[in-house]
Amino acid sequence: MVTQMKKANKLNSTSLIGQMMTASFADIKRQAAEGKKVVWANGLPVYVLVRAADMPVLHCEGLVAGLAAKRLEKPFQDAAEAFGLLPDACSYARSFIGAAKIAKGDYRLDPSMNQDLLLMPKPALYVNSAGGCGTGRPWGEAMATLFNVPVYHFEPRFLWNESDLKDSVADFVRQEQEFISLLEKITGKPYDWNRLKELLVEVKRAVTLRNEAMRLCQHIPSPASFFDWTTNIAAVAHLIGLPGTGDLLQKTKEEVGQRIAQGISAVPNEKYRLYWDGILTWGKIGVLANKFAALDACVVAGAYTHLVWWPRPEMIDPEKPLESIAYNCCDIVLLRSYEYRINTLADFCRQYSIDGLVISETQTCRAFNSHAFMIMDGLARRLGIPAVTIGGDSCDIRFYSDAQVDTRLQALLETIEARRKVRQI
Amino acid sequence: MPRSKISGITDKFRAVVDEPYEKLKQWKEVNKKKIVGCSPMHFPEELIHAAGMLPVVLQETDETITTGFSYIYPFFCGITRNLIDIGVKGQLGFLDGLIYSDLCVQNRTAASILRQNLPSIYVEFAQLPSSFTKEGVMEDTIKELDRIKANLEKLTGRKIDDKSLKQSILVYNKNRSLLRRLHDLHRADPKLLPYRDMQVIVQSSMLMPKEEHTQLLEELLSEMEGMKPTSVKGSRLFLSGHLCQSPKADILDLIEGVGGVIVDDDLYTGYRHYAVDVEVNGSPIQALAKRHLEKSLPVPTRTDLPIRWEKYLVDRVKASKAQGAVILVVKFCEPHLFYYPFIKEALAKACIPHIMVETEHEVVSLEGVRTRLQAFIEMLR
Repeated sequence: MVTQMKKANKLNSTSLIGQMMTASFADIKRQAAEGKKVVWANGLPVYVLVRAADMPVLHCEGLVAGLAAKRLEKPFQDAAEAFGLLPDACSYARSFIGAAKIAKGDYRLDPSMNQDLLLMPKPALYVNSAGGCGTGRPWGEAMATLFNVPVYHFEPRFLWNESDLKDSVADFVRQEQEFISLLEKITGKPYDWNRLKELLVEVKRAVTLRNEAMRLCQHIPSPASFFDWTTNIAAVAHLIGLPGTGDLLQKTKEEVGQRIAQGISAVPNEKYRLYWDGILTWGKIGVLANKFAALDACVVAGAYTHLVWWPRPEMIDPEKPLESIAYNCCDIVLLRSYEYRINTLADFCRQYSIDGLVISETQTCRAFNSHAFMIMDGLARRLGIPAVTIGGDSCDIRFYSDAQVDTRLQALLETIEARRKVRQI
Repeated sequence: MPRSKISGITDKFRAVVDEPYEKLKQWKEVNKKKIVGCSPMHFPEELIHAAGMLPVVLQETDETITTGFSYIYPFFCGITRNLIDIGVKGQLGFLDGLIYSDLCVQNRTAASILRQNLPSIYVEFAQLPSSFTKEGVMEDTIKELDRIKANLEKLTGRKIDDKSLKQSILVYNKNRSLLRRLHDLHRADPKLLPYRDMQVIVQSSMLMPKEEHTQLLEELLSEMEGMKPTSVKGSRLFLSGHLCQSPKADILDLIEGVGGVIVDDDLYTGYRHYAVDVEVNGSPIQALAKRHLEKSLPVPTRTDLPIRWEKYLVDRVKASKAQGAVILVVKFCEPHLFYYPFIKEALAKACIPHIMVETEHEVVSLEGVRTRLQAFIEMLR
């Protein structure tokens, strides 16, 4: 007899994301072929500013994570390693530098490879907005040097004290203004402020819908999982501001609502509700979703999906576009202190009825891994919630081990089970 | 014999470096003064000195990381892990203040973890602009220095006026100028001192009261300048990289042991630390900001560099007449990792042979490194 493994019940609407991503890359290439100057960018979505200048944006995380999810990123990493980058360096940055070497023609792709997928149009400008991660600096400098183009580094301040946010936002707005002057120089045209306001209307709609849909996962059992929210994160990242993103997220919210009404859950037999801290191994997103589902565990929320991309939708006011973007780039979890992180996490645990914490040990990302062990310890002390770390990396699958994830996940669920029994006594 | 006098002086420097935090504790007990530690690279120690406290640049120790692994992953760089480890074990508890700078994401992590675990110490995070060219960077740098100055005044209960800050700048400039004199002497005759001693002298300047270090340095220089030139045999090498922390003495000995002669460097615990003085005219805070923004050497933790590091390095290697370069990369040091491919390319283009050696906090097998270095030196001959 063959035993059927329980599988994750993925949201149907997330399947549309793949088509939208493919269409967006085709559109970038089309615009480049028509003579438009392309902007390459990494990190947080300050590149919405670029869209209002009518320039196509190639977003690193969108390109690299998208390919990594399909296990097609290796040629980028091979190109970067041939250049001399060691595998200890951030795999997003490493892969994007590899993409640059390929775009420049410094690294030849095997003719059997899908050239269209891997060969990108060269940029006229590079934007680094790595959310205050210092790695963005040498990364941005490397890209600008490779292409001999200008680079603008957005540097939000680390919020050492809670009261620093106001100053940080003001400082970020000043950087946006300086950046817009640079865009005007590059395009030779005055900046289209009306277009920016229109874009912010669409951004607010998309981000608000997504946040509302994610909040519906407080329902037990959860109608969707962290893996769904990761799969469609492109709607508020690479694709943000583009037509169709709001409609897509409207569909997603409706689907989530229908699931609650019909009693459909993301994990067929939800017994454990988990929180995910960190990025995941993109090449294993489907494997992980099914692995957790098979063990009746639903990851219902996470820092990457809930606290990094547009974490302050209520601060988006299309009439104040620069401040709106600034708040959402300055008030992200990566720029916050341990105290803030543990308080926020504790709130999430209460709101989403969390039983356990999974910390993704993203091997080449030092930004997400900054307080991992203190968070595990702090949460156990405050709420008695157990945690495990699981190995992996955002875009370098070599750091991932199925066996290790299986063992650790099993240990976490056993700990949760043991605690439940103790509570019953 | 001048040699024994030289050894006597370098032994005094070494005693400080071998047990930095023990020695500092003892110094504090005797002198009853406050001590503020700074993370390496960017923060101007003069500001702390002017407040009447002893500034020290935190150094990596050889201690095996144990408790620290409960706070930080093993894929953070050596000095980050080491300082967190000794910090949570209580070995930095004698400090009155700790100032970290926004060099890289690992430094920020260390600052945040130590602040949480050393609640009785004033822990500061200096966010000096990383860009050289953005609008308003001078004003921003001055504003941040003024903010920290005010906090230091609170800590010490003493006003830092322009006069005391200028005096501190003079004290630091004098020490830097003597280190440059030593550097020139060593460059002209590298066998005068083993390179490990050069490192010890620079590291001790980061740990001792500057006035005391300067006095010992003057004694050393007067002995060295009276020495007969030695005959330099071996392959002339330029040592580059190793930001934040000193290379382990074993690696330096190995380079010299296989026939390499280190003639020049751009290390942080080397030329980078003392290459540039602070201007003494005008506003002293502005002068510190100017050194940070306009005068520092190309460094991968900053952006919009007036000159790229690899170009600067090629020029320096050529000027030193080195036959090759040894690039020391601290494992997991991302700023350096992103520059290494460019350095590699630029050196190849300039026909300068190089070898890259990755270093770790933990003891690594030196035999593999020895074989690679031997092969490299043989290639240069």
